[in-house]
Amino acid sequence: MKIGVAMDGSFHAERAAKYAIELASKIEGARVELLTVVTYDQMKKEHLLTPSHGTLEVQRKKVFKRAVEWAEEANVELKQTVLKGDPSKMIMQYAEAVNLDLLVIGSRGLNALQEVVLGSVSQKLVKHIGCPVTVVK
Amino acid sequence: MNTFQQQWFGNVRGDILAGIVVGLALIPEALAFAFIVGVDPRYALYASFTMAVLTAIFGGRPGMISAATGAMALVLVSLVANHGVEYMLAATILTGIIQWILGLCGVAQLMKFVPNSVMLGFVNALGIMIFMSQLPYLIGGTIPTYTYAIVTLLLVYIIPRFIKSIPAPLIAIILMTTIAIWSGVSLQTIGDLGTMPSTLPAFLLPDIPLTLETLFIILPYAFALSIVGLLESLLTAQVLDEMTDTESDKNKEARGQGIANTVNGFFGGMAGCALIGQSIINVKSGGRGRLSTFVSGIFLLFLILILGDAVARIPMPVLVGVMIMVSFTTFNWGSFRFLQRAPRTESLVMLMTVLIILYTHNLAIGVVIGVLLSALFFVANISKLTIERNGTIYRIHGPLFFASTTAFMNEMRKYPSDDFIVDFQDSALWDESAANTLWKWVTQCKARGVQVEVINLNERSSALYEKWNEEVGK
Repeated sequence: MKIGVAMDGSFHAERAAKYAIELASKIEGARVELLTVVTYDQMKKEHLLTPSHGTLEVQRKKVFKRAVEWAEEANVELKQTVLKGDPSKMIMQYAEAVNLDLLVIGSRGLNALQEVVLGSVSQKLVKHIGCPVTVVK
Repeated sequence: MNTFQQQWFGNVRGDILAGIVVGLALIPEALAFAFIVGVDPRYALYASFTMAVLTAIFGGRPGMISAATGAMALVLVSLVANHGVEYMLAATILTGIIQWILGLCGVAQLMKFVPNSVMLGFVNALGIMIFMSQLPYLIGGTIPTYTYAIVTLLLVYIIPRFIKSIPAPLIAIILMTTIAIWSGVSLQTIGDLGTMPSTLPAFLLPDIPLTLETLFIILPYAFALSIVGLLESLLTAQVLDEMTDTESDKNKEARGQGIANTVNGFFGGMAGCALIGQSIINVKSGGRGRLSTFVSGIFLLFLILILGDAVARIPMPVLVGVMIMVSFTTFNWGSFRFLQRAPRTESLVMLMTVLIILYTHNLAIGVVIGVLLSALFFVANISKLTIERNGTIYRIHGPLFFASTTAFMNEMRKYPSDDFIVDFQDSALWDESAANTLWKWVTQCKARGVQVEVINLNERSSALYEKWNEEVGK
C-alpha cells in the first residue's frame, strides 16, 4: 500500500505526515511517499541564489525533515520525491503514475491568504484527484 | 528529448498550445523593447519572429524562447541614438557572427567562470534599468497616464490569481485598450510612435558605408551584445534544463543564437536573445519541444499582420504598466536575503556589478568587471597561507603561487634557523614564482648552513621545482 503525503513546510502538512506515518505503521507492507512541489517561479528565483545544484536538492528536501525522523522512529518505509511545476497538477499526475492508494493532506498550506484568493491546493486535490484523500484537520 | 523527431514532434499538442500563448505574450514586450531603443515597433516584432523561428531550428535548448529582449535593447539605445537604425542592423549581424564563432570555440565552458553573484547583479541591474526606462513616460504625465499605468500594473498581478491559461499582460492590455477607446481618453498610443508592419520581413542589406570606421563604431556594440545575449541565453537554458530535468547543448545554443541574430539583422530586426520570463511561460503552458518556440514566432507575426491596426491603438501607459511588471519579475527579490547570507565578498561583487552597470549603462562592462572582481577576491581568499609547526617539521597549508609567495617568505623568516623539514602534504607549487620562491629559500638556508628538506611535493610541484632547479643550475 502506498500512502502519499503532500508537504510544503507548513505545520498542517507535518501533521498530515504524522498521521500518514501512524497509519502506515499499522499496515503491513505499507509505504509512505512524501511529496513536495517546487513551482517554476520558485525555481527561477532559487537558481541564482544557491551555490550549487546539490545544495538545492538538499534544501528542497528540508520540508521532509521531521517526517523522516518520525518514520524512522515508527520503522516505516519512506520515499521522498520532489516534483516540479504546478503543485496540485503535479501531485495528481504523480498519484496516477505510481498508483497511490491514499493521499493525506493538511487542511491548509503555508499561507492563510492563499486559501481565500487562490483556492487552496488542498481543495483542488480533494476535488480532482483519482485516489482516496484524507484531509487532516 | 534526443532525436530530431522527439525534439520537434514529441509533444505536438502541448507545444502548439504553449506556442500560441507565448506568441501572445511576446507582443507587448516586443513593442516596449522597441520603445526602449527608440525605433519603430516593427524592428522588435520582426526580431521576435526571426529569433523564435530560427532558434527553434538551430538552438540547443528545445522549448527555450528567444526574441527581442530588454537586455539587448538597453545595449542598443546609445548606438541608435548616435548613429541611427541602420547601424543597429549592422551591429546585429556582426553580433550573430561573433556569437556563432564563440559557440564554435566552446564559449559555454566559460560560463562557469561567471559566478552567481555576478549573474544576480546582472539580472538586478537589468530589472532596474527596464524600470528606469519606463520613467520618462510617467514623470510629468497627466492623471489619465498614471491611472492607466497603475491600473494595468494592478491587473497584471491580480488576473493570474483567477485566470492562468491566458497571459495576464494580454488580458490587461485588451481590457485597458478597450476602455481607453470607449472612454475616448486622449493618451499617447503605439501608433503615435511608429507604424506597424504589414508585410513579412524582407532581406535587406543595412544601408551603411562599408568602411573600417563603420566597423569600429559597431564592433564594441557587437561585443557587448554578444556577451549580454549569450549570458542571458545560457542562463535561461540552465534554468530550463533544471525545470524540465533534461540536458541541453549550450554551445549549440550559442551557435543557434548567432545564426538567428545574423539572419535577423539582414531581415530588419534588432538583436535578440533568450527571454527567461517567456521561456518559463512556455514551460508552464506545457511547451517542451522545438515546435513550441517555432509556433510562438509564427503566431506572433500572424497576429501582428492581421491585428496591426488594433495593436497600434494600445495606449502607451498600458504598455508602461506591463513593463513595470516585467522589471519587477526580472529583479531577483531574493537578493536582499542573499546580501545577508552570502560571504561579504560575494555580496560586494553583486553590488559592484549592479552599480557599474547602472553607472555605465552597459550590462557587458558590469559583467566583465564583476567576473574580474570575483576572480581577484578568489585569489586573495585562496592566497592565505598558514604554517603549522610540529617539532622540526613545518607543514604548509594553502597553495603556493604568485599571490602567496610573499606570505610564505614572511612566515618562514619568523622561525629559528635550525635544520628542518618543509612538508607540502597540504600544499602545492602552482607556478614558476612558487618554485622560484621555494628554491630561493632553500638556497638561502643552505648558504647559512641550515639543512632543509622538502618533502611530499606532489608530481606537478616537483616537476616545476626540478625544472627551476635545472634552469638555475645551468
